[in-house]
Amino acid sequence: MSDFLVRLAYRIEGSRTHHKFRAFLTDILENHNSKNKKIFDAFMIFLVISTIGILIYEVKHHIPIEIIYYEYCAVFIFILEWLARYAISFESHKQIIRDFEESQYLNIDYKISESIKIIIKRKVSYIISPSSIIDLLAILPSYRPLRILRVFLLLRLFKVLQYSNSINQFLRIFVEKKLELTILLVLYIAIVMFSATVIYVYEGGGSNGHMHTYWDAVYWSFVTVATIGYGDIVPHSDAGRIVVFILIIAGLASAAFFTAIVTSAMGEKLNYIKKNKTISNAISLQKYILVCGYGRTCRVLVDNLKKNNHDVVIIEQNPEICTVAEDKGYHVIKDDPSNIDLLQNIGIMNKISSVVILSNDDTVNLSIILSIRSINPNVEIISRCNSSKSKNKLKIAGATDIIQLNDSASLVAMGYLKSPIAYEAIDDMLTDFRGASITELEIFKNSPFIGKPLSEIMFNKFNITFVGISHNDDRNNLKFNPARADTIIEEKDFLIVIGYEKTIKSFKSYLQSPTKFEDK
Amino acid sequence: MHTPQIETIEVIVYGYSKLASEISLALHNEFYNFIIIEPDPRIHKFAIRDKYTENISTKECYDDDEFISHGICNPNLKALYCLHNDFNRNLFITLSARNLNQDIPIIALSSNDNETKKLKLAGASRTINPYEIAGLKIFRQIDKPLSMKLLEEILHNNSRFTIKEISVSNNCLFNGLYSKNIEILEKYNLVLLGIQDKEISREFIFSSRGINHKIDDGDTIVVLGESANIDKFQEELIHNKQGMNNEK
Repeated sequence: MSDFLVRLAYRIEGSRTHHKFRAFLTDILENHNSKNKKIFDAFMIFLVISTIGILIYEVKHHIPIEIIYYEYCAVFIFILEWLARYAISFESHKQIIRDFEESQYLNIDYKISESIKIIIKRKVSYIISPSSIIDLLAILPSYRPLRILRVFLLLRLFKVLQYSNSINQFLRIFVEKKLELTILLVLYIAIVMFSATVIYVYEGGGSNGHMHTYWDAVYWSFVTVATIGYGDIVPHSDAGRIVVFILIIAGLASAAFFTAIVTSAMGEKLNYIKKNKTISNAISLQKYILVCGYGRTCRVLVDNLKKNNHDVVIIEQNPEICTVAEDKGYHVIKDDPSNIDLLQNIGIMNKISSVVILSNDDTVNLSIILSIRSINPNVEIISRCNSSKSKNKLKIAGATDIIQLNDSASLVAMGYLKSPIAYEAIDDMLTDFRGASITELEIFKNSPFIGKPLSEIMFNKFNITFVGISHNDDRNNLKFNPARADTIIEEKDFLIVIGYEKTIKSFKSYLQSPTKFEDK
Repeated sequence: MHTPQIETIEVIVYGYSKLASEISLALHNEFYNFIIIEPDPRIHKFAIRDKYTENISTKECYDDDEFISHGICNPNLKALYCLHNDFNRNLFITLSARNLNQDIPIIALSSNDNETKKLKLAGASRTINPYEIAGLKIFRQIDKPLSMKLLEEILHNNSRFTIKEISVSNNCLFNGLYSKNIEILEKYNLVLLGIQDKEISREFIFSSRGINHKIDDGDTIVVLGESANIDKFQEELIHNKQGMNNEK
């Protein structure tokens, strides 16, 4: 038996189908950043709400057989879901393998019963967990002989909470503030019992026609402390009225206490939820550029990246600066950009095309570069360097490119001294000041110019200044203004041109379909 | 480092910000006679650390006479850099300098559009915003890496490509020609980036505007090309000029 189970455990561990299936279930049931989970959750929410709708409709109407079948289908799906959650809650075969290998290592007899005990314990702990109980209570009343438990069907509403991470986070407030809320509850019970006792002593003897038992006194006290006061039981004696004064003040105080606890906790959670939301938004992007820090240089960079339809995510620690970026509608994560866990969560492995690090502290920049490199050795990292002495260190850490803030500025400023007009042109091209810019245009695979000489392209027609061409097979070698008749255009070549935004746009479209411009 | 005579000063650098330290180094390397004015003693010490002990002044220069004594009206002066970290000081000095010397190119440090507007009003010829330049440079590196590489090469003087401005005189080869018909540029494989046409304005006009300018005496053309070709082109222009002068 023991041998059989161990062999089975190893077979499961070695099964690719098992791992694939498990990964699929984990993805749709537990991965909050997965698109599949979002679709699955939306489907389950629809099932829950529609079955509750059926319950409400059933109160006064006879429901057709099709709807009953629909409900059975829904419950069947709930059962499958519960089983899937149960299955992924704990990997039994791994426990067997772990215990078996440990016993082999220590050279002792392996007892399968020990592993089974642990497995049963873990599985039972899942079954009796609140979320599993909600699931079971939402399923069981659907079994006709148990229809008496129909009220538990409403527990399906709680199932909805399972599918909303944000609501779940809010509900966690009650777990995290357990101590404060327990103190409040004890205080509340003490007030209720104390006032119930006092009122019962004064009015329970028959002077108050509505207060017959101690339970009536407790009920009255509870309703009064909650500041509801239905008015079905009212105090008649002066002592009873004094108790009411005390109760109302105590009630207001405890309500305020409760509100304060929940509000402060909600505030904390809100930031957490916002951060998670930004992370899941970032993950949902196809590819994006990660920018660490949101200083003045970064603002220019991000504005231009957004203008050119690049997706950008910013990580910034300073809350005030975060607000500035958020006001502009950017994705901002308020956190430390050198946090490796965060970088992993936002998809540094496969979602990020380039990282730009722009802190004004080189030690911080170095730490961020190393954090990124520890996860992804290939991603492009452009880092700001604040002191030329740190340049080499940033390179060693793994920066692909180094930007020194005053480097280009000083070259332009010096250029103004020597060739003011020429450098005005460069400054214009760097800053797009007069709308003219130097740009590169890719030759896409369906361009009719592929295989033809450069001389076929009518640059002058669009007032485009041709500067050079970079061939796909030799990106590092720019062919500056080559002889146009001898240069054959190939797919994925880049033309380096100077032009104005509008003319470049027309020229781009001309490169794809020149026939459209033939008559113009 | 020698103390420059006021009459020989070619460049004044006002303020010793990080950008100023970079520019001072470039001026020093290219043998310009320059003076640094840094009134703030806390920053002044950085200039001393960088070994600018002789050509540095701690005077405030808010007073015109003081400024004149530092050479602002010097006929040899080629430029004033207002690069103090304090924007208001830059603004004040820019206005004072423009008032004292109408022709001097003033290049001032700015960190946003509002500052740029004020500096221009005060008389700055150019403003430099390092944050903007660095931000756009990173953007281009990500979005247009090939064109950024070319621009970088042009910016660094000692590289394969260079950009040159050529003043057109009466006996220049292309005086009287139209900008679209300058055949000599083809010979040296140069690209005409644009022109400053004195008849239109002092602004630089890109060739991409599509205007076919008539090039006259006093205009300036800007060409882009491989450094070696530009040198040859300039040599031909000089020879041609000398030849024409001899003929006269």
